[in-house]
Amino acid sequence: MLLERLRYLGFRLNAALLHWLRRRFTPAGRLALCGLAAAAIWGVDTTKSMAYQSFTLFLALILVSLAVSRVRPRRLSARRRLPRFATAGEPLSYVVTIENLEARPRRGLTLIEDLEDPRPTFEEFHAEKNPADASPLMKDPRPFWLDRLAGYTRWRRLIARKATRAPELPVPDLPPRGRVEVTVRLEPARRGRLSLPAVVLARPDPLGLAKACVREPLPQSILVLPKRYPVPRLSLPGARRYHQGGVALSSSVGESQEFMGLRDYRAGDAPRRIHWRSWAKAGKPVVKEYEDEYFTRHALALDTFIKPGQEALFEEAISVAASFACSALTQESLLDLLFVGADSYCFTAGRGVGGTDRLLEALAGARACHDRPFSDLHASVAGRGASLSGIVCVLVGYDATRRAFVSHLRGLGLPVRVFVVTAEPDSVPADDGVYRLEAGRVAEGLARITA
Amino acid sequence: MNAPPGLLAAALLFWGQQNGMLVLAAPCAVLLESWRLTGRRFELSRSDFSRVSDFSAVIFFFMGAYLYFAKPANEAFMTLSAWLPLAFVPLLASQLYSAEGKVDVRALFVFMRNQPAKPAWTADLSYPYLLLCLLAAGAANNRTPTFFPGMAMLVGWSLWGARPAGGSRPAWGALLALSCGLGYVGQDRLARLQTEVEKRATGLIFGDGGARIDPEEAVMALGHIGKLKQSERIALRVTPAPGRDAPRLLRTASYNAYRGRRWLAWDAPFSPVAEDASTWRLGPRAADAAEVTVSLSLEHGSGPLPLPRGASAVRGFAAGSVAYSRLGTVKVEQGPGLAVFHAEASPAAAFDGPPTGRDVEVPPGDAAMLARIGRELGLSSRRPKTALASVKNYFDEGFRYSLFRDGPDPGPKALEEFLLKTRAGHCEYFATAAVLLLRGAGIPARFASGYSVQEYSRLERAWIARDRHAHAWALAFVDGAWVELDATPSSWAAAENARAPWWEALRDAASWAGHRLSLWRLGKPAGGGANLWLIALAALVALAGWKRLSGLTGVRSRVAATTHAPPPGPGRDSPWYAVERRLAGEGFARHSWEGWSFWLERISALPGSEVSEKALRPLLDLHCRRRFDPAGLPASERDALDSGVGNWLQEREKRQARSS
Repeated sequence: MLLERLRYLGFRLNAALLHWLRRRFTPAGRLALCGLAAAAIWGVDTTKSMAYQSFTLFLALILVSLAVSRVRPRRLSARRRLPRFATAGEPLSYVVTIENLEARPRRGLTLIEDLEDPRPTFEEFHAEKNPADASPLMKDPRPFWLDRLAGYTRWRRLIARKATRAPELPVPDLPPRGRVEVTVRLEPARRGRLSLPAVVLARPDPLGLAKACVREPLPQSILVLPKRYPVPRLSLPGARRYHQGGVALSSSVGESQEFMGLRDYRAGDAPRRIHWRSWAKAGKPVVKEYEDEYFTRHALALDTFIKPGQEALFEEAISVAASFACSALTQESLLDLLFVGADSYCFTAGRGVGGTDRLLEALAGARACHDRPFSDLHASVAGRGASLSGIVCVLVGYDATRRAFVSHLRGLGLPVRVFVVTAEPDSVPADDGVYRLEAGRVAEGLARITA
Repeated sequence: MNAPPGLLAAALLFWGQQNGMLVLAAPCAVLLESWRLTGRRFELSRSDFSRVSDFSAVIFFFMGAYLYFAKPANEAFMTLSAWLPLAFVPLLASQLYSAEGKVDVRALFVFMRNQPAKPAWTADLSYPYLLLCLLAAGAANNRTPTFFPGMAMLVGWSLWGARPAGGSRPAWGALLALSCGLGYVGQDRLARLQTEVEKRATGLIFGDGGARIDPEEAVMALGHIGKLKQSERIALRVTPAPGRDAPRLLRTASYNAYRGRRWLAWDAPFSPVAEDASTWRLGPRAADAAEVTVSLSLEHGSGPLPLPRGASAVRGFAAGSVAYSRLGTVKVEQGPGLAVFHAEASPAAAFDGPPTGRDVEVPPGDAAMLARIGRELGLSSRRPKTALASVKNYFDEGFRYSLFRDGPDPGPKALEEFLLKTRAGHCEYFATAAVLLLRGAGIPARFASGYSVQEYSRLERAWIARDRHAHAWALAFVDGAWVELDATPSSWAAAENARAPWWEALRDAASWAGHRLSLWRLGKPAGGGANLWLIALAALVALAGWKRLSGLTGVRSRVAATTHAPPPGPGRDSPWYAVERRLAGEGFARHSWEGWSFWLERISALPGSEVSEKALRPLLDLHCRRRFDPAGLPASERDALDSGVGNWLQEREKRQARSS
């Protein structure tokens, strides 16, 4: 464990150093630093090599550049115009407007988005050591043996999973007291909220080795929706079910719209349904009665119960769920998204109750559940069984508990489609209505499904 | 971005000049620059770059293997460093002659070659190669005053090509000059600093400094303040003949004159010793002579040999010359980096020259003090052998061994302070005092330095002497022969061994492995054998190169030179561009997607721009006609455009001067 901690610390410091080098030095400056390091090795004995003269020259150049770059570009302001959503793995473009508050032109500036620190925690790094179910396709195709031995492959994989690349963009020449726009293109690596705390405006020193940076705090964020795959439209052979209160009540709020008539009050009727005028006329409580509704209602159950190291599988499962949520015909039916996080959640979309974007937002914020049992999801879905026409389950394994869950749903007479995202597809038994999706090949697996 | 024209050639020529390899550097420079003239480029795929990269690696390993067999390890490393640009010429040439002008980094490393092609990861090797040339030129260690200016010029040239857009040229020049000045002063200070550090703590930092012995002069550490430190490095290994004991002392040099805390070898020139089948005989073989095998590193293949008393011959190694002084010092020139030699010696014999007047000289400043102590010990009245025992006894009983001393530097009074005040010191104090006391008593004596052999290494199965076992003792001429007198109290060995650090075993293991490797290398045939190795390696490199490069199927087609200059056309020389450049310089640059007309409208509306669209619009119309009208622009209107732009520029200049 001590070695593991030292390794983590080493990678962490190395990442910080590389970040600082990229932030403070131009490519020419970084090359000069390489020259400095090489000259330090070659020139360690001044009597055996003249490389020590290269060392002092590079050192002087870098020190002078760093000293000059202490003078930072001032009196600049920046403003972002962000879209509402982005999608993981898809390019995101937005515009940053930079304004020159001085009466002299500015040239040679660059813009860098200052994103959040992507370095994993020690717990994440350690859990990645032996991922419970990692598909070979999700690993490096052919990692360098030394990287693998040192654990650097693991570190790189975690960074790639979290980090969003923010390129350094040239800013057009800024006229005196003028403004220019820079189009920033990012590719969010993962779903969730992408924080954009600040932008950094940099200017190289006259020698072109070091950069003077000024950080403009500009705290904003954007919701990154889960990655989605093209999926076939599933036809679940379920019948329409009676829904007390109709569509509006199905969404937990409001009244049904179809008024049918009045009847005498029965114990248990909601006080808000009392028709006060008729009570005044009749002298006894009378309530309004609405037409009962029958319609199709499907559930999309997402398995959030993963073991440590299965985060990649979980992300794939989220993407599969998001893909089905998008493909559902919500004009004609209701779709309940059910999953368990800190609590049991149910989000409903369709027939005007809510749009697909609501489900995607919920999925963007979904977190893995480590402290509750799978039976919570089981209970949540089974409790709604009476009103459901069919269920789509997205699972991250197919152990006995999950098989019992599926059997129980089928026992309720519900048509069930099960999608199991797994690193070992052969371990999932071929069953009617169970689709195996191999992690890293999910798109191919979904494309093979014929409704 | 490729390097500016001529820069790479200049760097290569600079490297060639420093290495004395201009003959090789010149054609390489021509190769790296001629693509600009021929205009030919080739379509090279990633696998083609991989092949060229492998070829460069083969050249590199060939050079490394050759140097490994041809030169001592430390020289081989520096020479390999100095030759590096040669190995990578093919790789850089393939980049420069490729249509893309860059190299896919994944093609360079075997472990990255199976990675997907996207996203692209290309790099321009021009500047890294330039850096390599500069460092390799430094590794050549051609200590000429042109090195720093040449390097600074090349660095300045490359920085000029990569300077940021819109940067101030005077500021650039001033900062570069400042950096060069600081660098120049710094390199001078750095060299001095190393000299100073070596002087103060050579053994600690560089390890081998403690073993550097000048057979003609020994600077004593008498009066040195603080703690004397010597490294744990194994300096030499001694294997006695079976059944014989290892010699307790191995003498490296003897000195006969003491001047101001220095022992000097005066009137003792070296005379070459005749070689007979790798044997150098110093004197006749004694009947009881035995052989002892000694191995040690010789810096640059030269230096004095540590020999046991009574050494009559050395043999078993190759050397340009072996010389012998009458003080008994034997030195080697042009020998191997690792000398493993057999010394034939008899403890009873000694072939040092007879004593002279210098061997009884006592420094006048210390003469009275030495005479007083001599009288106290009664040295003059005793027989020489007894006098030696008295001196030994005197130091054993009343003195202690110490590597530390504090207080101010006593200067010339160091010996007096040692004998009368502190009565503690290291071996040089004891040896010097013993020599001078004996001389004071009329017994010829000399100062000897070398190693005390006192540690047996089970790992090495040999006796070893570390740098901290470097020792000094006295030689006294008694009964017609030189005998050794080690006046240092015997506790010194225990005191030195107590300083052994905890990692000594690890260091010894590494030293043993290195020694075995060096012995294995020495076991290979030298001379003609090395040439055979060279021929074999050359054949291998040619074969490997042919195998790799014969698959260069990626050179599919030649394409026309892709010059970065815009295609020729009418109006490219229009003066309008001067207007555009001028306004861009003031911060009103035209965007790449912006037409001239929209640009004029935009900047004329900007506050503070003071650009009149009305004034420039007629000039723009003329320029557009000159640029795009197939009929061209009549001469009169050309003149109008030229003069209009000229007037506008002048007006602009005046306006700016007024406002500033």
